[in-house]
Amino acid sequence: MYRTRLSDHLILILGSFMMIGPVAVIFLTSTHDAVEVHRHGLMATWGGHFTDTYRKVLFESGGFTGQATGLRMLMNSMILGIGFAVGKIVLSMMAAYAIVYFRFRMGTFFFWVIFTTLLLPLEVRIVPSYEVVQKLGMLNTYSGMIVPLLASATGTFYFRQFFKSVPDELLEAARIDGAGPWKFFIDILVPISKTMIAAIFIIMFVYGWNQYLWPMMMTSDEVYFTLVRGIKQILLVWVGSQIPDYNEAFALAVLAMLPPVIVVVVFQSWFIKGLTESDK
Amino acid sequence: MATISLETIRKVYAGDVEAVKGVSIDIADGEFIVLVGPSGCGKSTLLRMIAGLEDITSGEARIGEKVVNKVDPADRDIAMVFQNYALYPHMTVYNNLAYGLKNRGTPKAEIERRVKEAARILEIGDYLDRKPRALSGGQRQRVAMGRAIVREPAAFLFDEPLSNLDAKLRVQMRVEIKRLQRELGTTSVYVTHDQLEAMTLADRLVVLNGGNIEQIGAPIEVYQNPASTFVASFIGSPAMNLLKVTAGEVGLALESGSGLSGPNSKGKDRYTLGIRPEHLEVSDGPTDGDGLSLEVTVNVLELVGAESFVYASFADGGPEIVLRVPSHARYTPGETLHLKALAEDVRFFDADTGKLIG
Ligand SMILES: Nc1ncnc2c1ncn2[C@@H]1O[C@H](COP(=O)(O)OP(=O)(O)OP(=O)(O)O)[C@@H](O)[C@H]1O
Ligand SMILES: [Mg+2]
Repeated sequence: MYRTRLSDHLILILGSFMMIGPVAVIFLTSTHDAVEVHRHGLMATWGGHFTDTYRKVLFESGGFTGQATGLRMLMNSMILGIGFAVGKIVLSMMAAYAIVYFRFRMGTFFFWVIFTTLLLPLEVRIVPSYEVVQKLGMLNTYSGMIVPLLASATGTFYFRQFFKSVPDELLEAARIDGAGPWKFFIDILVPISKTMIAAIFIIMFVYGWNQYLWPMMMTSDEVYFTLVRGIKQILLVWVGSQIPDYNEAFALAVLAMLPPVIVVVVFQSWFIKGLTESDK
Repeated sequence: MATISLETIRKVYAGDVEAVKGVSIDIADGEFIVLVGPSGCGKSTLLRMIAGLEDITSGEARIGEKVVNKVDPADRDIAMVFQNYALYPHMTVYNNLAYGLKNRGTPKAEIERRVKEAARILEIGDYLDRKPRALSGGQRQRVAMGRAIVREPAAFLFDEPLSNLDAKLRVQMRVEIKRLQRELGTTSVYVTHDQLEAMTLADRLVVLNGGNIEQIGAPIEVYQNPASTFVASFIGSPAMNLLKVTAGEVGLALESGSGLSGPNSKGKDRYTLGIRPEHLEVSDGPTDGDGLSLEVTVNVLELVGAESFVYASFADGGPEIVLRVPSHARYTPGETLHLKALAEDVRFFDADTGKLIG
């Protein structure tokens, strides 16, 4: 058996330090006040303004209309991330189910059509997508932010591969047990896919959470601002030759990092449990 | 409980693979039918057509009085046990058993009664709360059986249910399946390529070859009077010795030139002669009379425990002969043996068609 040596630990410690270091600096800097940050740059000490800054960021309004509090932005990001992940999972599971279990004309063709959309990321089709959303009158709505991004080739592909690995006998046993297509999907396929669902949820949530360009295009109303946008907004005052609220920007950045970390930590244990427990 | 009847059932898969070529069988109520044959002969296909998992290309299948060609598997009142068990991995044993009943709207109390009863019969009562992954192969097998019996179906369909088990467990489960089927009296169709399983379980054997039925009959009947050289070589282990002979002036001659004396087939001068390994006996010298008599050289002695098998060949090569001898008998390779057999134990097959003569 391989015995871990001191050098292994050193490498791992160094690696973790490199990843955690910047995050720690961001957090520590956010506890100082703006002037100090402006004067001395990044901080590696505890500044003592933690409660002030975070209370201000979370509950006091910024922006022009005063509706964009940190809490509001947190909620918006949450809606975007969760709506995005759940929507993508539901849609791609159903698409994969249709492709794998139903023989319809040109099924494979449609699969490859879905698959080629991988070659067309959002940035490429942003103008026509905007046009469609605008024509549908969905600008400045949550559904306008979420729905156009739901079609997911990646998700469909992963679920397709997974469904193909499920033994046919499971379907046949269920058919003999009197389960129709819908019952088979809900009672059998969804429960045995839970590891896949967890994995895709992680990826999609983080992806949705970090969206910047699309929400900015879709929404001009500050009510819909997300955290990622909020950070940018704070730094914009630079234009007005005031000192930007660096501390608040850093606090927002910390807040913006927190939920994805929580999601990964929570789902990861679930994910590993599923991986080790499931046998199809 | 029901009869099953198949009338010239055919199955053509996409790409013109004719897997089943017009099979007719009438299965009596409560009968245990075993479909046996080499890999790819269409056993599973036939069973799956009875189950409704595969469309019937032509012909008619009836369960009870009802023609089921177009009936959904769920409505055929059958239960199936799969080779890989196909248990629902995320459900407890209890729910695996109960799922089919729930879907049929069986009242909760009735489900509970039936699951408990099945668990008692199969001795899986202790595992009802476990998931399949926490069970051994044999226990999973029992759960799969349980899922079939709680439904109290008109027929059980088995597709090689024991082939994933180790040898000892296989024998044990084989006995158990037979006992269970007797107790419940449910019509059963069982697919296997293991001829020992086939012999011990079947009320009647159906030997399939390349999508056709070679023979239907009670195991002992099939064993004693195989309808063709195919059946003769498939059923029995080791297989029946088959010697292609030509009747000459004096005795019989093998293709290789070796001579032997043996009974004559009525009127034919070329035919295949079949003799089971246990019917060959070592004698002191050439024997007269109308029995079989031949001279061979020992190649190998195979000890299997209660008995031994001697593999031997003729002077000029030709087909290898197997005979069964008591386990205490010792023969050394190279030794010459005179063998004899009774005329009544010899079977004749047509040299061209391979069919049993007479
Ligand atoms: N879905 C399919 N499409 C095309 N051909 C098929 C299909 N399923 C089976 N076949 C062919 O039909 C023939 C019979 O197959 P089947 O599965 O019934 O054999 P089997 O007797 O059960 O063999 P085994 O003992 O190996 O299970 C084979 O030649 C097989 O290749
Ligand atoms: Mg098979």
